[in-house]
Amino acid sequence: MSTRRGFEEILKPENRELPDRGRAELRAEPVRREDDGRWVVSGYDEVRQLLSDPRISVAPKAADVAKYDSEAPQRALAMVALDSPAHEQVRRHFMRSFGPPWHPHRVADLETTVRRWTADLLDAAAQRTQMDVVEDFAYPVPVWAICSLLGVPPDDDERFTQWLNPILEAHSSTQMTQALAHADSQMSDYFRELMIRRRNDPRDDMITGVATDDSDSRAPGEELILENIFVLFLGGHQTTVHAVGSSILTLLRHPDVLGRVRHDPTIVPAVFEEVLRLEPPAQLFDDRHALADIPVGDMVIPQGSPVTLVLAAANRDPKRFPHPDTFDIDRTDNEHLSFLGGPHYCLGAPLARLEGRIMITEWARRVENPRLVIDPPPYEPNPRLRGPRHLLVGYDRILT
Amino acid sequence: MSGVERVVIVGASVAGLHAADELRAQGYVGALTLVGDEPHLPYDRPPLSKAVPAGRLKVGHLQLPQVRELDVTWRLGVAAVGLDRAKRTLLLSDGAHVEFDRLLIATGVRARPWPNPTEAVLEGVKTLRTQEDAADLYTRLQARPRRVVVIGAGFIGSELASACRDIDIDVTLIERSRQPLGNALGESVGSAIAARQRRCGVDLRLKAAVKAIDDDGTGRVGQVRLADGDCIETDIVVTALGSQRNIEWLDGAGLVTDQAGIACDATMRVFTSDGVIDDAIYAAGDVVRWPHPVFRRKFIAVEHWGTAVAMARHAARGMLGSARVEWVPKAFDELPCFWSNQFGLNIKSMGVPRFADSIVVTQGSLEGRRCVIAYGRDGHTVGAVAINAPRELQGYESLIRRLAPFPPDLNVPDWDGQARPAPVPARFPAAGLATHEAPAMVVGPAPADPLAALGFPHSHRRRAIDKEPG
Repeated sequence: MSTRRGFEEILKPENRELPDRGRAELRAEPVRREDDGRWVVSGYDEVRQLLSDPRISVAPKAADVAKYDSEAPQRALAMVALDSPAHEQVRRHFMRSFGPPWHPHRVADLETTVRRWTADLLDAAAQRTQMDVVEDFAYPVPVWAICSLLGVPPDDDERFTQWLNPILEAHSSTQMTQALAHADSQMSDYFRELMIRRRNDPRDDMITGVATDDSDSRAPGEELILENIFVLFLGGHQTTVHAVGSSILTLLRHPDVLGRVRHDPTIVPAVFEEVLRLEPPAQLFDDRHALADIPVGDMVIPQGSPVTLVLAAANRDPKRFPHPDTFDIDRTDNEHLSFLGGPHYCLGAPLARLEGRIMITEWARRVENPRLVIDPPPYEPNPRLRGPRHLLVGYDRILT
Repeated sequence: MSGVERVVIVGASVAGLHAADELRAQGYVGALTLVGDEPHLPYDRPPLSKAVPAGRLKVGHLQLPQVRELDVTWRLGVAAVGLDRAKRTLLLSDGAHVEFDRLLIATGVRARPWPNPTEAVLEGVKTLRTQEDAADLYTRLQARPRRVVVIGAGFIGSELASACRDIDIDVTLIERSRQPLGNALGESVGSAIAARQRRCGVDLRLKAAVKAIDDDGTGRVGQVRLADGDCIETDIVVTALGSQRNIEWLDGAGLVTDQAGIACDATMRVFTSDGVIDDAIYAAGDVVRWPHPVFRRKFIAVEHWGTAVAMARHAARGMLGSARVEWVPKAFDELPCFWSNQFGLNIKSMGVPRFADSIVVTQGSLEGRRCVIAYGRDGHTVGAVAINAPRELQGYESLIRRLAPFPPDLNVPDWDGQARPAPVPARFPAAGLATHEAPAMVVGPAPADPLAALGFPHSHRRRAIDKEPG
């Protein structure tokens, strides 16, 4: 078994800062069956196929749901755990309040606000000569942005923090601790109440939209809407934070590129995409299973098998990306899978790109002579996510 | 000859532009000439039947972006009129001779003209292919005509009918076969499109033949007379009878050309009529037919925007790469893929549906808002069409690439315990019947080829259309 430890190595928290661990083994077998029966898929073409393959289900298997909590009332599922056609109905309902053609400017209109928030955070850091890039910079902006989009009053910010921590720390929904369950129900109650408030007092925000939109007779019910607001809210707290944290860490390790960014901010999107390729904030999805036998690569994944898609490995597949482990912002062909693909393609990708572009540009421009205080920084322990937990950076001053 | 220093591209539309871009992206620094018979820089055609006539987009905004310095010598408003292969020289309509080391033929297609020349020149009788056509149509629609008659319910005809309904103009859509889009999607799917078109207020006439387009006495179109005796009064007639490939200028050049396309190998190099591959001459886009590796090397011809882009780039890499000793040629194996927006539907297709004998609804339902349909032939999956389910379609690529068993076993939750739909015949119209064409076709390898042996008497069908349209 010693040759087949690649996937286990990836899951170990102590290997977070060593992303090379286990990679060679995964590369040798782009589709493979683990001893416990699950199938781990790590090749680019193979992951790309399975991200959109209709024979892959993202919904919990009925047997697992019953096993995990037969007492709890049947919980509505977020769109990340729904298969079509239910997925399509929920996603469409949310898109009607979020994106084109209904709201083509919803994300773009955040540009000015995100710039202001970014400037404010950097202004605040001007009093010091050290910051935690994650806590003091990367975290607040995406959180404010998702609150603003959804229509969560900024004053309620404080209330979330105590609920959020146990939720963000939970490794998966199957590890239902008491603290998590409590926080979860508090959050649900909060959003339920907010939906009622918005129905009575509509605003130009997403919660008003999803709570009041009755243009479709097959619109999802209240519980389904609630669960999905919750997931968007959580999503806004994690992935973009990690993407921005990893971007700044990577730039600090490549001072030449940081120098280029300062002189030519138009390369920031290329930097952000390359960091997303190398350090996808969502590393792997282990919640899928095969609805039918699926030929993929040279293998056939049998019906019913649990399937894990390792985006982080697919993004470094040497068959797809030349010199895959090199940080190369001049790649022209960089179709990474960090935003997934197929029906579950990341709803928030345009928002993440807008935030990443502004935040990285401004940070690079204004923070003078930055250097890493701790390298490697402490990482997110959850193997599904990747990003520094804290990123201490010393600097001379903050430029205006 | 080893060095490539003079590249000439004939055809300044989407394929020609992308080939030029790829050449420069690959580091080509030599001379690059682009010849186009229209007097415009390359522009985007898909909006011409949708956003432009409906007034949502002006033709001035159609120019295709040039994302890098192309350093091209443009020869616009000039047509290629001949090719001297021995002298590696292109002849232009202004009398110029242009020498090349590599030539890319991307001359595309043109609208098939209305066959009755007297009727075709009546004021108000139009075809739709160029930005001038679309701008003219937009102006005419702004004048609020009594009614528009569209002859031919293929994609162009149907999209134009949709644009008319968008701006609340009455439209009659005439199709000789049994269903709209029947030749592209099959009549089983076409019947669902027909229902949608009618719900959107289209006066859809199926199994209808046009007997005459009548002059109102002043040289303008007055009415369209059908074979069943019905007369439709109208101010505008748009004939949408499919396309003809722009290959006549190659007569005598010694290539394998006919209305099924220019025969190429899978690296887009042209075949000569004596069976040789000419290393210096490539072709790309709508004008090509090539042996597709996925479809068991049957020659296919595809009129899709995305295929033109990918094929042009593939050809451009080959044009430069083939000059190097270490070059290993690679087959162009992109699956044909296209989309159409009409009547609130997003229709997206992958593979070669026209090749199929059977279909099965694999997700959703034809009567519902969204669905995916798999297309099968002889028990293999050869194509898929998604209606209002664009993101689902990508999931069918691996099925088509493997020619997976048909009907495919997907076991998706759509049926919720109920019986899955059973396959039904695809019902493509008999040869020569439809007014429109399939945008992706299996064709033969050479003009002399017995096409019927492939199951598609393509050349006969074309001839029938030429003789007896509408």
